[in-house]
Amino acid sequence: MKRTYPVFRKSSNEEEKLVKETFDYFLDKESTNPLDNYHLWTKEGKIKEIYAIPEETNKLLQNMNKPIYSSGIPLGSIFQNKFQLEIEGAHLILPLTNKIIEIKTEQFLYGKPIFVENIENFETSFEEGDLLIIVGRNKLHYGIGISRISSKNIQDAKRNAILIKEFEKKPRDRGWYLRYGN
Amino acid sequence: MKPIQPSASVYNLGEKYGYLPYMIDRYIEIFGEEETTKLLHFYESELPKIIRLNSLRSPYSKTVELLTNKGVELKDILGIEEGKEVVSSLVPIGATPEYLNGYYFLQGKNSMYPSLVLNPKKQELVGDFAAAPGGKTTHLAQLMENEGNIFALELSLKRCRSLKANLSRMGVKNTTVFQMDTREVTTLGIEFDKILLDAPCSGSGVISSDYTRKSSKTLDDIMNYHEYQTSLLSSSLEVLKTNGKLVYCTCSLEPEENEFVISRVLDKCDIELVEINIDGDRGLEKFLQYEFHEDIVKTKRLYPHKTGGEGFFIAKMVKNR
Repeated sequence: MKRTYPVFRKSSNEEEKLVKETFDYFLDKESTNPLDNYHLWTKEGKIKEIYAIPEETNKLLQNMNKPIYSSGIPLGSIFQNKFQLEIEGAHLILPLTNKIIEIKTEQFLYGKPIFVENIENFETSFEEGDLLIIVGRNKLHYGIGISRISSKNIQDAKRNAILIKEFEKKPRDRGWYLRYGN
Repeated sequence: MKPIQPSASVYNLGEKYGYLPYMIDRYIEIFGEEETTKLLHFYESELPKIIRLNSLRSPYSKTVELLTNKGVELKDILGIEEGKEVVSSLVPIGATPEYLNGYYFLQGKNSMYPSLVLNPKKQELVGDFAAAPGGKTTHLAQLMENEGNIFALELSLKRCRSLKANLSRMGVKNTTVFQMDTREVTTLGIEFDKILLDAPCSGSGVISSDYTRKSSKTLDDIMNYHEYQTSLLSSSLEVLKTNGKLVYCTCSLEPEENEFVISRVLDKCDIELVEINIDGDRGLEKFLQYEFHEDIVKTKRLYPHKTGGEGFFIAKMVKNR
């Protein structure tokens, strides 16, 4: 029986728009969008994977009808018409955004939540439901997460209140590379 | 003249450590009784822990500083700027935030040589066949400064996943992973400037990290590897450009997986072996009753007990047409 492989194709305008919206959310109007240097490609599936591919690779992959597993930088995935930023997409944005929260524990890298008491610093205010990039000491990238508490309520929140919930099985903290990547 | 009979002690040592007798026979054939004894003893020791610093994520000096501040003592490796030996560490070196950010890769010293020997350039199209888990692929990308293109082929879906994870972690963006058999690489319809073929092998050079290899492979298994490796190399040469370079390597010490494979393709393809400028022993000129092509001495054998690393065989060739 002949095996079939997921289609790997250039992203549609609609898919590109979803990705761009997420990047725009993180970037100042003056910032150069890092996606400007890449072409977006989609790997088909129930969950679509989105990749940022440099120009040189983009040229080579045109008209290549072969089982491509991955290429370039995996930015995130589209499920039910929503784009979810993943680890490497966030890493691309990190130098260009101030939606960053710095924490003083490595537990998040082990698939654990971030508690209020773990916060070291945050560069800008944020609301409940906002997507934030998480860094540790030395500004090393740890991952991304959705805030469950607004920054203006942090002072009054309990120290053991969960600020960011873990995503155990999604590639949203860099510990995922150890837990599932190998 | 009557051949010198090896003493019982080396066989006793082999038995004590759990080797199949045929392995001891051929090690004695390859490099004599004394060296065989040294090799068997060496395999009982743990290999030094080595990391490869990744300039795609962080300058070497910064990574060294971060690790030193964490209580990791590093030592330079002669001739490999990016390689460092971990002398001691207060933290688990395979799980630090720096590791997870791709600042370094855990990689044996000798397994860094194939990528260095291939010497890929920025603008080239490089093939990395049987690529997972990606130690050499990420090294190639680093040497190419993330430019040009690497096409990494891997047959196993599971291993494609670990390959992708390592490429992502290390910040590689010039690589495309194809889930396909290297023997079908001609169907891609392209030709490569350079190719690295780290062929699947019996692994007799890495017994220090896999003791089961002492008894898990028979001579028949080795011959099966030989056939597979020869077909992989033949297919790879088909998609190499004229004047293109190819590095073939295995982590096996068996001549059938190394000199015999190279000899077969030398007989049927228009290629030439290229001298490799790294420390190590020359390829075997003969084994049992077989005499290899005179150029086989241009290949390199890295013996574990002599190099303090994994056992490797490396051959570099150029395609004439």
